[in-house]
Amino acid sequence: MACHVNIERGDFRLNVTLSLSESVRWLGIVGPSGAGKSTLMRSLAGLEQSSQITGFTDWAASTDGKSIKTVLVSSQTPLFPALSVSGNLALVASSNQVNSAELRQIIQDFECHSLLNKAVNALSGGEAQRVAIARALLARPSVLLLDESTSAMDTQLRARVLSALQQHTQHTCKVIWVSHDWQDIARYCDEVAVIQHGQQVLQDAPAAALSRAGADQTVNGLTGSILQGPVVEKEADFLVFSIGKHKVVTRAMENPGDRATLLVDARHVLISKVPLAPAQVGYVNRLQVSVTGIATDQHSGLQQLTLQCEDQVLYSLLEVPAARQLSIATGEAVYAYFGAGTLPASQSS
Amino acid sequence: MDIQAIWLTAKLALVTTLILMVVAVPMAWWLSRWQGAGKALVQAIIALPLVLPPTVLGFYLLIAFSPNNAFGQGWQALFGSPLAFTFEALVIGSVLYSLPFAVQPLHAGFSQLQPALLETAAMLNVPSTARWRYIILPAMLPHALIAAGLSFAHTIGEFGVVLMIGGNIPGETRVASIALFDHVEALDYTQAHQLAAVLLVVSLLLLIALYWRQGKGGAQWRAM
Repeated sequence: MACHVNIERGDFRLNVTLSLSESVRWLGIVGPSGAGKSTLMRSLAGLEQSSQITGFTDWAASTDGKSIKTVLVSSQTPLFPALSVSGNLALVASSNQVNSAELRQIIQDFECHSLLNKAVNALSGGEAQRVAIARALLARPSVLLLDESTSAMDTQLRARVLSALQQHTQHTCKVIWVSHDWQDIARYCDEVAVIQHGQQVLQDAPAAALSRAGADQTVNGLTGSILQGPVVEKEADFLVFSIGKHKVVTRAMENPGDRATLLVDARHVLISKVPLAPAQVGYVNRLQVSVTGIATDQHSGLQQLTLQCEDQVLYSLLEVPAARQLSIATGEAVYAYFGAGTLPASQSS
Repeated sequence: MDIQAIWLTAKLALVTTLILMVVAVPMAWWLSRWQGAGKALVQAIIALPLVLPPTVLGFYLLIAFSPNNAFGQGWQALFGSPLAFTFEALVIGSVLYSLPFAVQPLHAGFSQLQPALLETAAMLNVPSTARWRYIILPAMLPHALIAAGLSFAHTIGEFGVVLMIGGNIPGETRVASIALFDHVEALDYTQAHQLAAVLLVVSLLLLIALYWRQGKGGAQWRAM
């Protein structure tokens, strides 16, 4: 199902086509600042009067045949200032016939218990965000629109909130999520759409989208790729997942499930022709890869290597003199070294 | 001291303020939402008492209240007595005269009310009665207090309109400012001093209260 969103407002023009199939339950949206992501979300929430939308209601309604209810949570979504946190939650719960057991569950899962008696303006950014998400769920949405709604939370809290959100939306609600964190997107989203200059430039599964986007740095300011595989070993802070016969170490914190993902920034991938001990280069991971592409990046003047390990892609950005000294050719087998994450966010929206 | 005149003034100010709050809230709400072509005209008409000599307003009201005119006739048919030179006439005059002092703070309040708050409430299915109770009214309360305070203070300070439409009937239309004028005419400076001092102190205290609230983070207003 194709969903078209069209707005023309003065100089600004948004004309986005999203492919919303039944299998897409979490759709990520990424793109540079000013690309139109927030306007797109406001349109889908029905808050932009001048927008024309087709093909959205079919997807939105296909959950349990419920009536369509879209709820947006963004930085522009205020909590009600005259009410405390518990007042905010209770008002929306009673407006949507949410019983007290459900309300308690949501308060617990989104860690709002210690905030209940606080005034709204006494909350920190991350606290306000989780109250806003909890409150949105109490409105029983069939589509939840999240626009950078977890940006002020620290990594651990964000992981807990997102996994609670995943649980609460599992059978009842679909999610469209604007984020600049590819790692989060890879973990939670079935597909991701890249928006640029008011248009969708690609939509795919996250790993594939990132590698396609990687060819054009301007899309997200980040050249990188996502490695993923089943977890084979777990420790307190770190875990090991496998790519075929190869093993990759990553941090456990953001990987609660039995599959792990690791976003690898191309600027932080080192290359050697001979096998060095990973500790010698200061990174924990070493993968044997084959070079499938060499190109000069137009924007940075760096040499971009495309590397293949089993079915997964890795990129490396090298300075041109270094690349020349290495004299790597396409088809050659080399070693790639990289860290265990968490990687720098590509940009703030 | 002229207790009767002071009591009448307080009564007039109180009744006027109550009526203004009822009239001005929907008017200000509508003004803050309406973007029609005639908006500037409507705003100008509401603001007229700010600049018009009170005697002009009083003069036109006096004409309108006359039993020779439709409004005065209608009133007499309804209540059995003419309107001019009664307490009711003073109330009508005061409401019109203080209207901008009630409407403008409320209009500012409604205009500042974040659209995102109402949008969010609608999105979260909050019914409209709850929206008014928990979102709009709490945000408006500081503005309503200012509107009420200014209306009350301004009505106490009224003179020209009252003189034109109320005359000087003790217990009916002889408010403090008129009584003061009377005392001065009669060269009774002792009485005049007392009354003037009461008016001065009451008005000053009211304004101190309003500015104090503003200093405490209440809604902002400018003396007009």
